[in-house]
Amino acid sequence: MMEDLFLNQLRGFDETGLGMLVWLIWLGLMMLFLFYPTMSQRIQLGYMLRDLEKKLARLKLVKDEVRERTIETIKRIGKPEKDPTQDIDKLMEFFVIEPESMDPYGIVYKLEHILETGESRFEEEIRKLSPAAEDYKVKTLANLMEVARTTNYLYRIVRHYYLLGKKTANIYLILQLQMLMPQLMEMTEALRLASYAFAYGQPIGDGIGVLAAAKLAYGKEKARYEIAKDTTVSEIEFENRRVLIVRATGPGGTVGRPGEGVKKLIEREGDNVKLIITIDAGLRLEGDESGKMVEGVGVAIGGPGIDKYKIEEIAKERQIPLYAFVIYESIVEAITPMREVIAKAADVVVEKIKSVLLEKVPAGSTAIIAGIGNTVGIG
Amino acid sequence: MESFPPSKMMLRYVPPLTFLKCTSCGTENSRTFKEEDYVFKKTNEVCPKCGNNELLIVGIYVKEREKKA
Repeated sequence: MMEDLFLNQLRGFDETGLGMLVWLIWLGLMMLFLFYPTMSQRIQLGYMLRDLEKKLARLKLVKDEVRERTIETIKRIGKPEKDPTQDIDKLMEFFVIEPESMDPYGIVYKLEHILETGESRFEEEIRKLSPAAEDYKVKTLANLMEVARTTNYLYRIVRHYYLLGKKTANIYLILQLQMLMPQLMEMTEALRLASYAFAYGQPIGDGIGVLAAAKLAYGKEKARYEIAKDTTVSEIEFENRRVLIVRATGPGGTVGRPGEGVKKLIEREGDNVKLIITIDAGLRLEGDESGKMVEGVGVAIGGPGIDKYKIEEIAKERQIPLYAFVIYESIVEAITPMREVIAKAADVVVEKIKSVLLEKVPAGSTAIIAGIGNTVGIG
Repeated sequence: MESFPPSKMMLRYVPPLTFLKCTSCGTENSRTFKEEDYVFKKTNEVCPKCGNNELLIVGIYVKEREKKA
């Protein structure tokens, strides 16, 4: 019964000429793919471009939101006499050119000079725009401006490759960009949340090293002084051991110059220094637990490498052991308001440092502890 | 605090809490973050337990959401 019905339907299909039409469409499509083999690629490219277009629109939304927040914060805190919008737009295009590396000799100090010049210029501009802001707030505003600049740069880079890929119909260029987009979108979202932290002066995940150092020093300080630009030393006594705690000066948003600070301290203290400990936030791998403290050897400092180089150089010259404590966090957690699980790790680090000091530093000697990171919201 | 309409983004901004400790009786309490707050700042707020008007900010962080059992 069913078979008859099916055959009748087929016959009917044939009688109306529909069968022929479908057959011709199939033949046409096959010929198209035969003589125009990149057709499928074109369809795929169109799909990928549409996907990128949506993500690019989202990037623009974030860039504009961060820019608006920067303008609003500078107006609110800095109280400028004239509208700062034009100057902020100019600063969003600010760039730093890396030194030439064909001859690498002395490149660390060249890079340091260029970065310091860039930092000073950036701060000067923000200070001019924010006459009513206190010194520490100027530093936090400079950080906020940096976030706005980075989102703008990210947006321009993605737009560049999107337009280039579209113009040249280069599927491989678009494919690479599409593969990178999840990470870039995550980074952009993190920058958006970072803009809140810097707009209101809230501690961020990266500040955990500074927080641990500050907790170790709090209430026990015998002396406190500035050793390098934006870098403070707190001297404490712990079980007959002299401990020099180096950290960026808070509560403004700065990372200070811990490398310069440690170097100057060792030059001053001579052979009394028996141990150097660095504490910093470290990028965790997927699956690792946030806020977990791990220990190792070496200098735990991220960034361009200048501070790391300086400490390594002097520690090697004086044969001082280098210990490092790292608190795991993701890239998003590092630049967004500090999470509880990370903040609680500071107490674990303090206890660990105390036991290492007792174990590795002989009584009567000196140890240097450097808390690394951005000190925004930590006094 | 925020004057912008919240955007439809992947990550949501959760404002941190400020944790304060009484310098007299050691009682800890928390409140929403205020713009001038920073860790180790002494404030003139009153301790809800002993009435002392000096509290020390001991932490500023985003509280973790309690996991359902």
